[in-house]
Amino acid sequence: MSEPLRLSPDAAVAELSGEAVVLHVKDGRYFSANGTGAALLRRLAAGGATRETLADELVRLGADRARATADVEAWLARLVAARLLEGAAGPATR
Amino acid sequence: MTSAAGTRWLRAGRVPVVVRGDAALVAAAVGPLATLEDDAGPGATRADAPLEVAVEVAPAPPTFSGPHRTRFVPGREGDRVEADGLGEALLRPDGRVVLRLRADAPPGDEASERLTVPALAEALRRRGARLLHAAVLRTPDGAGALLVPAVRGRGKTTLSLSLRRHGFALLSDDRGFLLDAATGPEVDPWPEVPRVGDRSLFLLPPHVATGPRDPRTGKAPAPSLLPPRLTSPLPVVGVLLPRLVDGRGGAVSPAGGAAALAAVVANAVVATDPTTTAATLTAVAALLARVPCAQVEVGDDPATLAAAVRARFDATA
Repeated sequence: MSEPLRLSPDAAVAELSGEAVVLHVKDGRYFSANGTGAALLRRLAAGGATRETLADELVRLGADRARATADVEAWLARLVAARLLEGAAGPATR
Repeated sequence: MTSAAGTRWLRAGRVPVVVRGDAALVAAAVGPLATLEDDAGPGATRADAPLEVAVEVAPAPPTFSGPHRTRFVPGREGDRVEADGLGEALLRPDGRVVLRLRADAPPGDEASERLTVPALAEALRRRGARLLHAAVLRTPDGAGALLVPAVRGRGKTTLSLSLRRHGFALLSDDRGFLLDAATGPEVDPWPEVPRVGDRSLFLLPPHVATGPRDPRTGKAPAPSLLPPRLTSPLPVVGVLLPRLVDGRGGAVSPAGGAAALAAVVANAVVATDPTTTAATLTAVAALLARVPCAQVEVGDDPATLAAAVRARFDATA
C-alpha cells in the first residue's frame, strides 16, 4: 500500500451539482473537476486515501483496473504540479 | 458625501466605511469608491459598526522600477497590502485599516484602484461583503438582481446594455459586493460610469454622449448612464455568464457544475488572505446552489436576447 495522500492546506474545494472546483488559496489559481474528479477529491478530503483506494474508486465507477491506475497517476501529477497535494512523491511500487 | 474636511462616508453592503485624513489624500484614496457614498450622513445611527480607514502620508518610498504590482503580505501585527510606488495599507487586527499613501500619488484613480480597493476589499471580505467583478441588473419585475460576472472583453457590457434597452435596470457595469444574508445571497451594486467599446456603441440611446476613449482599453465612458446608488442591497435571483457570438445571439442555456463555479470564482477570488479566499469559494458555491445560472450568447440582437433572459428570470415575462 502506498503512503496516504493529503490535499494541501492551501487547497480549498467546493462542489456544485456533483462537480468541483479546487482552489489554491495562496496564488488564486483554480482547477475544475468533473464528477469523477470530484469523487476523488472527496476521498482525498476525507483523509486516508492512497493511490490504490483512489484507483478502487475509479474501478467502482466503471473503469478497468489498468486504466484506473493510469488515470489516477496522471490526475495526481496535475495536483502535485499545482501544489495542491501532499504525500505523493511518486507512483507506488507494485 | 463630504461631511467634514477630509472625511468621507461610504457603504459596501451593510458595512459603513468612514475614511478620514487629509482632504487631498482622502480624495485620492477614495477615487472611484466615491459612488459608494452613504447617504445616511455622518450623524446617522448605523446598525453595523463602521469600518474605519485612516489615510496617512507614506514615508518616501524607495525608488522602484519594473512592473508595478499590488501584493498581500501577512504579518503578526496586521496584514498588509503593498502597492509598488503608491504606498501600503495595514489591516489591523482590530479591524481598522491604515492607508499610507504617497503625498505625490499620481492623479486619477490609480492610488484607489491599486491600493485602496484591494485593501478595502480584503477588510470587507472579513465582514462578509465580497467584491465581485460583475455587472448587476435589476429584473423588470423588480424582484431582484442578476449578476453578470465576466472579465473585461467577455461581453459583460454588451449584455448589460442589451438588457437595459428592454426593461432591465443597469445597477452596475463592472463591480458589486456579494453578501451572505440569512434570507439568501444579496448584492450591493457599485455604481460606476459604464465604459463602452466598439461592439456596444450601437446599444447606447441616441442622446447618450460618450467621453474620450481610454487609450489602454479603447473604451469610452458614458457618464449619463451612471446608475443610481441603492439604499439597500438586493436579493440575487440569477447569474448570467455571457459569451460573445457572431450574429443575432440570444440563446440562453442552463449552466452549472464546475464550469459555472469556475466562471464565477474567477471573478470573485483574489489571492490575498487564504482564509477569506477559501471562504469566498464557499460563498460562491452557496450562491450557485441557490439561484439559477445560465450561459447567454450575446450577439447583435438585443431584443431577442432580452426576451430569452426575461423568459427565464422575470416573472412578468
